Amino acid sequence: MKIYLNTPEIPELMTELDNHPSKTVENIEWVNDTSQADIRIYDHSLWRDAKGLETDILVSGMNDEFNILKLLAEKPCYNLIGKNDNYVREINQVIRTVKDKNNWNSSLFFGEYINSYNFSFNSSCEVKKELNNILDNINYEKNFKSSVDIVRLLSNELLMNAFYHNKSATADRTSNVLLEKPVIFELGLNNQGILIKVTDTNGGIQFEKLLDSLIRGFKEKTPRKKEGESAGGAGLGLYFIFKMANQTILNVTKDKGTEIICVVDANKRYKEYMARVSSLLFFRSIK
Amino acid sequence: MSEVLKIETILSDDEVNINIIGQIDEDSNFSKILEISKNIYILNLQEVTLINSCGVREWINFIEKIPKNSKIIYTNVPQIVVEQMNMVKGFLRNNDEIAAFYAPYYNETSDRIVSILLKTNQIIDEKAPTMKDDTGEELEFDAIEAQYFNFIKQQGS
Repeated sequence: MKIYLNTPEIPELMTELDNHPSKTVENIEWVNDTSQADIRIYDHSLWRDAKGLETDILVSGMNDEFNILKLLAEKPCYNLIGKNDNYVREINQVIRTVKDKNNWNSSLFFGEYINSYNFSFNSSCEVKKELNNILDNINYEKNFKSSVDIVRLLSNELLMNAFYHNKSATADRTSNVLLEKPVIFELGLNNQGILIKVTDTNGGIQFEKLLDSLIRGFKEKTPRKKEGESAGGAGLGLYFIFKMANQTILNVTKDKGTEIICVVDANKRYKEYMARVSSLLFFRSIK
Repeated sequence: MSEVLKIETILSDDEVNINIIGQIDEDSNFSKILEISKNIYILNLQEVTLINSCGVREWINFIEKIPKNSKIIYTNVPQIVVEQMNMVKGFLRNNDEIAAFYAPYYNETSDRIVSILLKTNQIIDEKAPTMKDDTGEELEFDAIEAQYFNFIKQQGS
């Protein structure tokens, strides 16, 4: 695989990528010409040189607001890698996924689960009734104490989004939504952290809409007002999701549906969690 | 419908003490509070378990209906609400006050994070106060001060 690397610390990052234990692509050839490259990796300071292609990786340790409003709003990117402890592992994961024609693989990214939980919800009412009971019975010992609250919020926002955006963007959030096919909720834990996945085979969300929602969230930081009798969403759900997860991944599989995945890295310290810069990844699996 | 938000009110001459218990979301109804008219509303958020994006909207709609010349004092604000206050504009009105809130501290000996109730007036120049555990061991403030205390700037803004 031919990779073009344009970051201030080129030699160091090359060495890290070549030697990282998560490396799964052998025989990387480092090229100096973007036109020859299968993948191009850019630091935020050099993103202006990128063409914004699907196979560009943007690595930015700035902050979430800068990454969304200054970088992605001006030149969208399908692979934004923030600054978590494992950003070199993340880069390797994206390289491997792109090489595999965008077939996102949860065990590649996250490893095998030690514990996993899997539920189907047919209605939004069922989510409201059951979700807290499910989450209250999970052991989050590898994470800081308040991670249970973060998981609760991420799960709530992901599930509500899946139900109500399928109905209509202006659907009253107090009404019960029943979908043709159930929404699948999966939660996995291992030494790496917590993975929350919501799979929606009714329609799903497009990347451009997700990005627009993030841009709105970061710009306004206020909820959308209710209009008339239709409550609609507050326009902050995806903003909360992105702000609170280490990684947010949108995976669309043709004719199958959309998965939104949030990863909260294993961390005993809240301070280290707060120091993260979030990643946003978009894959389009073809299988 | 999600589990109904519980609201308990205790009235006295000039003020009302309000305990808000449970999940603040799209189903939350604050009309019980809006039926009361006092100069001071003391909101105890200790038992709030979640506030989602629609809950934030319901919250802001609610506090905007409290008379502007009345004061809201927030107390026992849990970490999940502090996080939302820091992410959202308009969560607090001008001249409202946060009297006390929870903050995470790390105990190195036990390798655990504990939630400690701080009074807002203990925060000087965005610095967390020194806290100790029962044995006298100093605890480490386990958040980024400028980020965590950002909501304090919204008071009186």
